[in-house]
Amino acid sequence: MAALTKKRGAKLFEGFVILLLMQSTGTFLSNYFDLILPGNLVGLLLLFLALVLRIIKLDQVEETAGLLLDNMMALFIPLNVGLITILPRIKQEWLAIMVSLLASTVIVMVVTAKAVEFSERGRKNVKQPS
Amino acid sequence: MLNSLLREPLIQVTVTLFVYLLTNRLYRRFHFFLFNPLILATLIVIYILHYAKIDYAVYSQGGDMITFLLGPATVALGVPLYKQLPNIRSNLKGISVGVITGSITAIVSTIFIAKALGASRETLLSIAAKSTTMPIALGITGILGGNDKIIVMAVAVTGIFGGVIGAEIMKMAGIKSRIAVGIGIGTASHAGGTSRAIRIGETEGSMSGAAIVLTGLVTALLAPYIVKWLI
Repeated sequence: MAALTKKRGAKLFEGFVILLLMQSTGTFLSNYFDLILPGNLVGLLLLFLALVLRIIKLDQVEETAGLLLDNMMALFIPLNVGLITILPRIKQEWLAIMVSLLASTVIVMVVTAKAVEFSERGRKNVKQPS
Repeated sequence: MLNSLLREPLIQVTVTLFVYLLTNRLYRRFHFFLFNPLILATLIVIYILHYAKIDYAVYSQGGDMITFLLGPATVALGVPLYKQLPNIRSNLKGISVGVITGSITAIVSTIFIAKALGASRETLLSIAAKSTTMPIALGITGILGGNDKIIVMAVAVTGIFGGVIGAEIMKMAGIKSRIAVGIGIGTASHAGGTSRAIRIGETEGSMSGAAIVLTGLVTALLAPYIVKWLI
């Protein structure tokens, strides 16, 4: 059995190639059919579909996905450093941006939770009148 | 000396990832929100570049190599979505109602408030996707024609804020259902809020997690239309 079990390194590599294949296919489909979803998101859906249809086994991509997702914040540092290139605009608009972000986050939380509670209440009302 | 070293993409990549490694350790030890590794590491890298007199255009040679990995990382979100499937199925109605309502509310309220406060058109396009998880937000912002640096910061701020105040807001709003608390926090503030929802309780955490990728997908489908209509 030990010979049949793939080594961790080989698995990580295979998972990475699968992710790139999905991303490339997704990007091609997005461009070719002029889809509203960006290529990476089409790739995400393709991977999800392949997992549901068992074309790809979870075991083949799980570790690579974990490696990338668990350390994803590291991948955003260069873009975030790029904020220094648009500093004048940030200085001018930071208040509008911050107030909007913070107020909207509160609004979304409350509205979403209320909507969910409302849908749950509806369900109970349907079941109760016996 | 430092200047010529930091002109090498190899050194740029190494310094960036090493600084992240250190700040991440610091954050894990103290768990204080201002030690958020993305923000702290960014500030340190900016300081180093400034000190070594390196332009962003030079730094981005190495930076782009790191950014490239965001593509496969976005695709990798298919894995948590797949793992959440039983969770999503068992609360399908609540999750669909919450994620769709929340995604629309997020796009509309963000744009509406920023516009009222005088933000420019490009800024509005750059923050519309702020409630979605970072790689998805980046993709959406690309389609909308916004600025990739602003959305990264906006998503980070939203996540940190959601993590810090999520539980209190839910209490103040009188939300009693654990499922509603989880979906509310996850839809509004992606993984940042979810890290806190996990600490409120198991149901809250799993529902918050289930909402993240779905909010990204729904926002990606709706944002182009809503934005066209609002801006």
